[in-house]
Amino acid sequence: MTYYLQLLVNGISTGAVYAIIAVGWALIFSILKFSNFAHGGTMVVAAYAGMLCTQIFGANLWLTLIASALIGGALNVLVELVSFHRIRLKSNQLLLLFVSAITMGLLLQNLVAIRFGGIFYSYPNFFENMNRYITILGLSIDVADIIMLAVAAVCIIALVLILKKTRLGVAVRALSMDTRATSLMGMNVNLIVLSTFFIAGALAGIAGVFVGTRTVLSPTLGSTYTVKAFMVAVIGGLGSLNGSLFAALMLGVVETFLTSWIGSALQPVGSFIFMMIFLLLFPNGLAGNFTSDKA
Amino acid sequence: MSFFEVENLSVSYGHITALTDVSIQVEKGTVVSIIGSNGAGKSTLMNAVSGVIKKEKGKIRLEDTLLPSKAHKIVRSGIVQVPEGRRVFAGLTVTENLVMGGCRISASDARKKLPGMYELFPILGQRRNQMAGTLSGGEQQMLAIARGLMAEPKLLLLDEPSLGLAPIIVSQVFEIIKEINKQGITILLVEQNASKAMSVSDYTYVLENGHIAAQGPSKKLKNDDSIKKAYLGK
Repeated sequence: MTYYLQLLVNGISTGAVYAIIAVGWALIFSILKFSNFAHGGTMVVAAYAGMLCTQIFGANLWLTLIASALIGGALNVLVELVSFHRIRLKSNQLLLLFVSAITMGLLLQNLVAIRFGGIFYSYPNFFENMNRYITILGLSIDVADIIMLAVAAVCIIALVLILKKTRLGVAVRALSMDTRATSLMGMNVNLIVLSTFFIAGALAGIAGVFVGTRTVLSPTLGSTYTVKAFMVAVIGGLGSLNGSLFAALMLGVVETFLTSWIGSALQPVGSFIFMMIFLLLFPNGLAGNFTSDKA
Repeated sequence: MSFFEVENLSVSYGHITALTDVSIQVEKGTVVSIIGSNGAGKSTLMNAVSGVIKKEKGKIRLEDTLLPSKAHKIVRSGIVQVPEGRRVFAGLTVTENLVMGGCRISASDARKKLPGMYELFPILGQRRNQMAGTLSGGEQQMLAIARGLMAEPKLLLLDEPSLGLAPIIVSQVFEIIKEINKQGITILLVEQNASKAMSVSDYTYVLENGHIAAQGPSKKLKNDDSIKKAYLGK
């Protein structure tokens, strides 16, 4: 029993990282109606940038998080301007956006590969002076995981508050419903899109740091996490924040259990089978309200 | 110089010409209507004025100043469109829709305007926390107009406010148009319902195949035989 609870806790921790990535993904999908396959690229660049901050400046966890968030946000704004901006304004064709996103994702990932090669880098242990594990009810929980869960929760609550309470947030939601009406209301649609990219990129940057502290960094994490984010988005219901949140936690738990049962080599197979079965049962995902055929 | 002027406006979609050399003038404090059948170019004219579609040539001026080219800047200069088909934000509450309408003014000023809006449109006050998508067509039209008014427009563009509404609701909508105009807002109204449009407006333009086919004071035009035959079904 304790063993399964332990797996559950570990799964939720993994899921929290997916959640931070996936809500950013969902945010962009909801306003632009396309899947940003460059998202993992932004995450991996920000993760390496965060690692450099720790190496060069000896930054602590909080400074690293802030630096990675800012770098991720700024980079994502750049991604929008370079890869999507002109396509959006000229034709807004889904296929072009899709190709452009994948290209940018690969570019970012390979830039990292050129600079850092195939060597695995890892973040320093931010908690050297602390007891790394605490024991609650017989479960041993990594302090880093607790901090990560707390940060993830704060990020997501902050995001929800921004969306609910601020005019920018209401504008983002309005934009996800009707682009033309939004611009007819006097809102600067491009500015809202760029702000959304910044927020999503900042979240990706934060996720990148946690990916780095939990595992080791490698350039291909970009595409790995893009696939994860896409799985979460599909399971959650494209463009739905709540759906993505639950789907992320669910995927984290499912993966952890599968790893324990069938081993980490077969785990992705199991995860994809899980996703396929899930989609057969709920073709529109958890949120189930998005019926358009957009990829 | 008129308060608002469109001078030789032409718009085309690819090879298809939608508007040719359209010129209209709106005096301050009046209601001007543009009538015409489906595909005459009425909505194209509205959207070209609002900057959401590109104009091929022509000049548009408000208070002797050329309009900026970007849609959000045009709204900021004081021209607000209530679009055809209402286009309220279905997943936002009534209040949130209104707040979105008030982008031209500060967020706190927008909040201060809400009670006034609920007074003008009591039904919206009752439904303020409801999602806009759950409102009836007439209520959505009221919301769309209220949302437009939130920006404190100098010129309000109303695109087919009677579209798809029951006759009794249509009359209510036109009463509100009169009321808004009484409060001093200049209105440019595009309508298929020609008789209603001419009854609330001071001046009317008739748009046919993308050009102005006739124009004149609404009272006079209403009694014109060819207009009667073509648009009023008499």
